[in-house]
Amino acid sequence: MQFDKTHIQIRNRTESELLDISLHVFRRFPIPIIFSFLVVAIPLLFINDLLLSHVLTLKFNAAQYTARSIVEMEFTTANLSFKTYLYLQSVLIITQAPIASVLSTLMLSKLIFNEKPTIKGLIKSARSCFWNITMAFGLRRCILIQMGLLILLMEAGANGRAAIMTFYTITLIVLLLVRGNRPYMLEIILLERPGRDPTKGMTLSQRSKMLHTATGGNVLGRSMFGMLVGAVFSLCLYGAITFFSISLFTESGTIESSVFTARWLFPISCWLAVCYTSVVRFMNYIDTRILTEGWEAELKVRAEAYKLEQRQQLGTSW
Amino acid sequence: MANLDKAIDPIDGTISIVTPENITFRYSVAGPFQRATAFVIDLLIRMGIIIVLLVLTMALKSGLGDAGIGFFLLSNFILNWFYGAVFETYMNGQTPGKRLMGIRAVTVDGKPINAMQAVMRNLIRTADTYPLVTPAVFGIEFTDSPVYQSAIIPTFAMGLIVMSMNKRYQRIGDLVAGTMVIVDQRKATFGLIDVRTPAVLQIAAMVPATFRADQEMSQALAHFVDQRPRLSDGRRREIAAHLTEPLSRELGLPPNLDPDLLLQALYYRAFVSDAQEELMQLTPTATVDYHTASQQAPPYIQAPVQLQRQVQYLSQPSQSSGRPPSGGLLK
Repeated sequence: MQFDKTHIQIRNRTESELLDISLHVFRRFPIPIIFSFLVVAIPLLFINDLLLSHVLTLKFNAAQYTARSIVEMEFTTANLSFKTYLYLQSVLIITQAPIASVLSTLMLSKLIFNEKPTIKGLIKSARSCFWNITMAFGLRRCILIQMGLLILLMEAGANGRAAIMTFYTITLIVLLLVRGNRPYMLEIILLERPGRDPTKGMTLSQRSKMLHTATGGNVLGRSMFGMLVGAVFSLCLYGAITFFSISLFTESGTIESSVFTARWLFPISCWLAVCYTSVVRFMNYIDTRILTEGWEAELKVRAEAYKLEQRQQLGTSW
Repeated sequence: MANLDKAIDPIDGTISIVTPENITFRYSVAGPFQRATAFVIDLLIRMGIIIVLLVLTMALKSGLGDAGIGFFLLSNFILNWFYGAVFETYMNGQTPGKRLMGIRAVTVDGKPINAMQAVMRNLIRTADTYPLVTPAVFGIEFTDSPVYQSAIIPTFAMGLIVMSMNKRYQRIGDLVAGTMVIVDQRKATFGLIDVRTPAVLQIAAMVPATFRADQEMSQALAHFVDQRPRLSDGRRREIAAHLTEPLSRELGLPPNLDPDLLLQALYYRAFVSDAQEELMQLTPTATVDYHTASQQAPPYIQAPVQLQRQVQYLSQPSQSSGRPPSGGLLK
């Protein structure tokens, strides 16, 4: 990486500075970031809907639900288990967040270092990491496991449903612990391209250990804080999007939750928040590398070397 | 390195203001997340005051009657609408929350804000909280409680969108009042780091007495020495190697010196030996052997006497009884 040629000033930053800078990055490259993100997120949105939309018609929450809201009457055709749906959908989005940001992360890495990538090139680049991504995220970080559980949930009876929900929650806890400790796994896979043969260089686990343990508990704290900000951000977006969409596009204009808001507006808000948090995670990754690899020091040392060489060429002494 | 010259305005959350005298000031602008903490602190302070006022009103209810309730409502109104304005007027653009977080409201020209600007930017604060939604949006069921029925949740979407859309992270109130919030100047501070190893001292002794690091060179050396404990040996040498060749040429040093040791030696010369030199002039020097450095030193090294005395003292601080501990400056 040529970090004397970046769109980001190379220096160590605090967490709140990184969150602000991420907004700035988003503002500078809105279309490439959102477009590359949506290429993966839109298919995931529909896959998740296929897996989860049946929950909104399940009977097991029928007793708790009474059609009070006018908007719900406008959209609801069956019994609603609103909270269960929101829970399952949120967990699924949290789990899938890293793979949804595969292309946007690659896009950012190119844009920040002043290159002009194409989506086709990014897909090709991501495909070469397919095996590492599948192992790290599909299995170790439970994406495939959770999707499998949701397929089982479609046909499960009341007892089976309880067991599946419990297991689903356990996978969430495992995921939070694993990802909290190793948040930059995707960036390492995509940007550092570790091999699988330890004799030919550092493997993925070696690289991951080196980067994640270098700054101690800082990584876990930042990761958890990032998730918290993402959660608050998605709720704010959900509130705002629901407000505008219902007040503009429904006759009643009553701002309340409904099948429509749950099924479409909620996941859309969450995915938009994930898009932003993917930028934050990338910036955090860069910041960690600045710290652990001494980028800031190198930049200053190189600038001094350049000045000194110029002075020597001009024949001026110290 | 030529790339540095044509680098595109890098994102750093800073803005430059050029004065009529053609002097450029760089300000670090506080974004929504840096400002949010200050906002929460101020909110908590306001809530604390409101609770105290409420308790006072309840306690004095029998004596004051409806006037007490009127007093409470009036105080509440003033607190909510003028808390920020009053503090920012009298505390040079800061509220208690802003002061704690080290941020400050200034005009877009970098000047202190006046009372009118403070009032304007705070009166329009409510617009940033829009749209407001009810708990029902989040699937929270209503109860018959009137508090619950009237509950509203600010989404802050308006504020966040407006702040994200401009380089100074101005919210609507800032745009109207012509203000922005900056981070108070923070100076990078490095504690002195102990680099005294025989090899470093040996190279330091080879550096000519005329060596004086300017401010930027000193910063580069300080950054390098500060960050090197986190770096692998190879990476340290890789970074330091950029300077080795031009420095060796400039200082007349052998070209094959270890780059990492050379930069440490220069750091020692730039930061430590000068301070010690002053100390030496104030206190008598203890007699300490200089064998470690001199035995390994190549025959062409002719270190000045004064420097040798510094090395003696610094290399064995424990033997120099009766002196201020050298570790006082070193971490």
